[in-house]
Amino acid sequence: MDIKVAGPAASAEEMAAVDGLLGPPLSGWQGGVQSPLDQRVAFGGRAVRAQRHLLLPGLHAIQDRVGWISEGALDYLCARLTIPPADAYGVASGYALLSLEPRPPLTVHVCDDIACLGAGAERLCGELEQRLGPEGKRAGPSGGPATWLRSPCLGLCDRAPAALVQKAGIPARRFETALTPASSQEIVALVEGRLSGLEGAESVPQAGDPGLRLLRRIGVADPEDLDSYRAAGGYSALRRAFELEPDAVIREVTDSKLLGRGGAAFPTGRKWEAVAKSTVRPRYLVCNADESEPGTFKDRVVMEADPFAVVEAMTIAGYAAGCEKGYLYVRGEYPLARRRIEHAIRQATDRGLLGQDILGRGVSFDIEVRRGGGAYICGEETALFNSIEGKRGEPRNKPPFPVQSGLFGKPTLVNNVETLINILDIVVDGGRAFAATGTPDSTGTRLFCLSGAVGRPGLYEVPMGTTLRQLIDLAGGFRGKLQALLLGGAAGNFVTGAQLDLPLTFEATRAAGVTLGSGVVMAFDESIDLQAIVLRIARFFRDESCGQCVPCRVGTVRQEEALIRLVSGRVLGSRERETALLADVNQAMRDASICGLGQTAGSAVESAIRLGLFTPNGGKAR
Amino acid sequence: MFGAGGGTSSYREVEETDVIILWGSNARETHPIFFHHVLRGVHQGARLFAVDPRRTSSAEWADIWLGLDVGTDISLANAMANEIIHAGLANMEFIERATAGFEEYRRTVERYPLERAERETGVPAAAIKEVAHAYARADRAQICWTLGITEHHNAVDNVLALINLALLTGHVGRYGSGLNPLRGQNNVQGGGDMGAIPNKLPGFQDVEDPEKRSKFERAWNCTIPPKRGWHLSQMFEAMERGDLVTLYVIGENPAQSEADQKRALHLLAGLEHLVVQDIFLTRTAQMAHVVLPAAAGWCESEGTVTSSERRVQRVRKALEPPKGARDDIEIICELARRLGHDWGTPTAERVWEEVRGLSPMHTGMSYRRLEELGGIQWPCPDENHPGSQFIHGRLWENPVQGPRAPFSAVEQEPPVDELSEEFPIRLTTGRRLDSFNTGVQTGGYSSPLREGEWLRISPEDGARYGLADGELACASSRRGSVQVAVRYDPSCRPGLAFMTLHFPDETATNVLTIDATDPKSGTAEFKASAIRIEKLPIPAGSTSR
Repeated sequence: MDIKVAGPAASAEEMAAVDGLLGPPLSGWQGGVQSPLDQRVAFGGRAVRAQRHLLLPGLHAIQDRVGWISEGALDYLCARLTIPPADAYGVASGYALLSLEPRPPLTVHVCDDIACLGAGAERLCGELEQRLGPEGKRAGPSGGPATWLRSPCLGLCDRAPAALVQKAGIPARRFETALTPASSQEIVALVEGRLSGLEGAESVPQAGDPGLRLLRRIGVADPEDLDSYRAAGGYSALRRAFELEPDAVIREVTDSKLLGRGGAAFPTGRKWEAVAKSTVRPRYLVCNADESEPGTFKDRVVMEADPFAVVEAMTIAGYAAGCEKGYLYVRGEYPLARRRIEHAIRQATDRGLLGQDILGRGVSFDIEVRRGGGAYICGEETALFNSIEGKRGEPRNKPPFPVQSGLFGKPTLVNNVETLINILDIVVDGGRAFAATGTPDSTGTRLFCLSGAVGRPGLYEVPMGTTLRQLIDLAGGFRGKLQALLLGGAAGNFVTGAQLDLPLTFEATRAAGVTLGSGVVMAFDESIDLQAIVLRIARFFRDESCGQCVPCRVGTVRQEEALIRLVSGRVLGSRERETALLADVNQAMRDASICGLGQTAGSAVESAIRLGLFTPNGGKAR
Repeated sequence: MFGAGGGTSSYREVEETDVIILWGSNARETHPIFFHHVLRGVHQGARLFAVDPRRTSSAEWADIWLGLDVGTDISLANAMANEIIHAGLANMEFIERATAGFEEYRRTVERYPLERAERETGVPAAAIKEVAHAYARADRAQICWTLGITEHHNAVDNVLALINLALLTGHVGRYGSGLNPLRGQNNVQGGGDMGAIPNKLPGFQDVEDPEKRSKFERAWNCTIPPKRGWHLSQMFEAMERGDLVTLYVIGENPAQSEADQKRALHLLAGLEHLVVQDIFLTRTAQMAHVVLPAAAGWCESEGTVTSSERRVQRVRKALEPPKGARDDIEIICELARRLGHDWGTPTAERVWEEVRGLSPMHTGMSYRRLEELGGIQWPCPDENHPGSQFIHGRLWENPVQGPRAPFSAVEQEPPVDELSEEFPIRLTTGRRLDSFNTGVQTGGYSSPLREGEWLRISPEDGARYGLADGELACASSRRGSVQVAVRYDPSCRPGLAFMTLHFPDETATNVLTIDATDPKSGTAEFKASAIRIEKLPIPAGSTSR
């Protein structure tokens, strides 16, 4: 409350964008036209404040329509939702895809993150600078309505270098599309209106392999056709779940010993049980599809190529844990995944597989898609809750854990996409059968995102326990001479060719002091400047730190500064002193940050230094 | 109410209630700490309704804001009652068991159908009905009010109209349901409790009750005048008549806080002897023959204060007062000694022990217990009593112990200062978050929120009078004129203007206000003056304050 609005009024277009989401304003107090009645009575209060969760969708609506969010547009949205503009500004400014400064309607986000960096992203940016002008400036015909921006990882690493194109406008005129591999010719053609975007092919090199489990429908079933999904065995798991009833479903999940695939490896069955046992209502299911870990693209491929599987798995989870409603929070940079999932939800709803009385069993469950705004931190589960609630995407202290107090303060089951799709086979085949694959402590199969210097980059599925070498061989071996591998993502670790016989399990990686993380396996050959890669990782964390807690806010900056000094040779004291400082900063972040971002922000950097990849001789410059 | 001058509920109950009506209160700004309790209630699910001519920052939090015309509260309250009765939502069992005078009340409110209230208040009938139903149907409900109710010539009637609603619905005397006047200072409640009102001895004991009076006479070994004294407005009338020639002012600044300021200054200047005891050299003190510098109550002296929820709390001395300033007790006792009565040099605790001996509702409150329990809510009749979270619980006993709670049929009466062609704008005065009353205690500190004095008007009125936002204008009432810059404020509707009394040295708002006072409470009708607004003859342009 305490809404003070002083700036210029919203334009008709901006108001139309907001009204399209919220409906027309009910009174002058909510930003509509003042009527004599408004001077005598005003309705609002709780009913309006309860819509706070529509803040981010409202911001997206304006951004989609106009290309940026003006002060007037923000004020109007705030009047509609009774949110102080300063508060909403704090929310909006936390998302990279939302612009609070004027921005042309056509924006090209060019990835310059680690995978693309190794695939010529710098050269691409250089060409764009020459042909379109500097980053962030208006470009195109006669200084035209377009601009280009550097972007962190877009999750298109297997087809690097990548770009994401967003065109704002009325629904019929706007579009979002990925460009892979991106070239300056294509981008310029787009800016000049000679091209309207192309989606690259999904990259599942194993497609059609009968040994696949999680990926078996990819390339087989049509991702936009429910019947095709059913023909490939879809929705038999939901039927089976209804036969088993919730307790037995949870028992199967527990027996499967499935560990969460989002990075923390928490036993999934235990989480489900905790939510199911809660007496508090309502309860929520959240599917975390805010995949933003540099080098990771598995959830995107699954959502794009097998969206019904995600919807079916969420329905089972909601049924088993007793959640009335599910939210799927999809990364803002994944327009195709979002469209496919939304389409799948519509079809499933039309066919009685979502909504009231699913399959005539008296079970109700709905899924709402929420779209991220370009913030790595929102992949952290509690920051994700805040993002859905319309607050700044900042992690919460734990405890209380989400199973007790999560989304809207209610018990919440949060799983990532890969974890959820495992549920389908667990329910159909039984937990014990599922656990027969893999090792006793790491059951099932695992998705790996291979990129960089390998023969066939793409998404791979292998049983847990497969060695790194076997996985690389499956992907066609290394291209060129291996310098190092990044395992687990930017929050993971560098490993060298000496560690190729590492079995890919939770226990073996933990023993080796590394992590499977989000399943990233990124290979760098000798042509790559690893110092630049490590610097990019440090810049990524500095950029993405939400700034809420001090160790991470300060530590990620200090880490990048020290690395820059080491690269430039202008060290403070000595190299040893700088590396000691880095270790010290990393220790503080690991010990004292409240969320995983800060706790792992120094992992990759530290491993690079330990392995000698970040010494004047170690980083073999081109 | 019903013989006890305090709010019936505790702050905690406001947090745990289901419906809160803020009636004539912008607590968000004027009782910001209390409003935290309101907000906690709101966040826990309570519905909030705001009744206020302006759509204040408190009203912004409300589920429904009712923007009535100034001084039409009784019409609104009576119509709500009428609606509640006709909808069958009156708590007849409570009414029959615990109240008196319902029939007469029913006959009175019968004349207030929703249509009449809509006509008189300006608020749509449907909205009045919705709030009436929400209040009557609530399991727990609170009505909280402040000066929007009491700064009227019929202040007591206004309060009675709200009490009637609580009696009608049984929203009093139960946990979570109650009636709460919010006090403007940390110890307004305590001042009244201690007898600093014309008709009561400490503990709300009637000075005109011989039995009560003789108890005090025995304790004090003196004779107490058997008639009630003058309240503030009567004192000014007495000055006018020449009956009152000596005035002793403690911690008040009537030279700037009184309505019709020109008259107040004239009368104060005509006194034979004016004594002011204060921690600041106020405007009134500057007029005094003798100024007695006092110690600051909250940090330089020992004692107690009592909050709006009737909680007596200890105050401890943290600092020595500046040289020359003395504790209030010391000043009063020294004054008494020089007037020929040796009261010794009692400590604050010694004075408190005397209060406990004479005021039954304070008897159980030793300093030790006040400390241990973190304050105690009166009544607390003995040392085993925990204090009273809410009062009038007796009304829910069957049969009711003691007298029944009376309905008081009251009628709508318009403000005294009538609107006319010459004075067409209704000026209402109030307070803002950044300042306190006449600014004596806040003016010395800077605040980023403080904007100085403005005549706040609707943008429509600004356009009508050809006044730009920020332009200096002349505001006149039947009593005087002030120059003040206008500010467009959408919380005011056309025809409604708002000023504060925070900056009397720059803008003497009370030159405009009327001293029409309520005969029972002595409060002037600060909330309703009729003014006109004129463009200044010389183009003044925007002021740059």
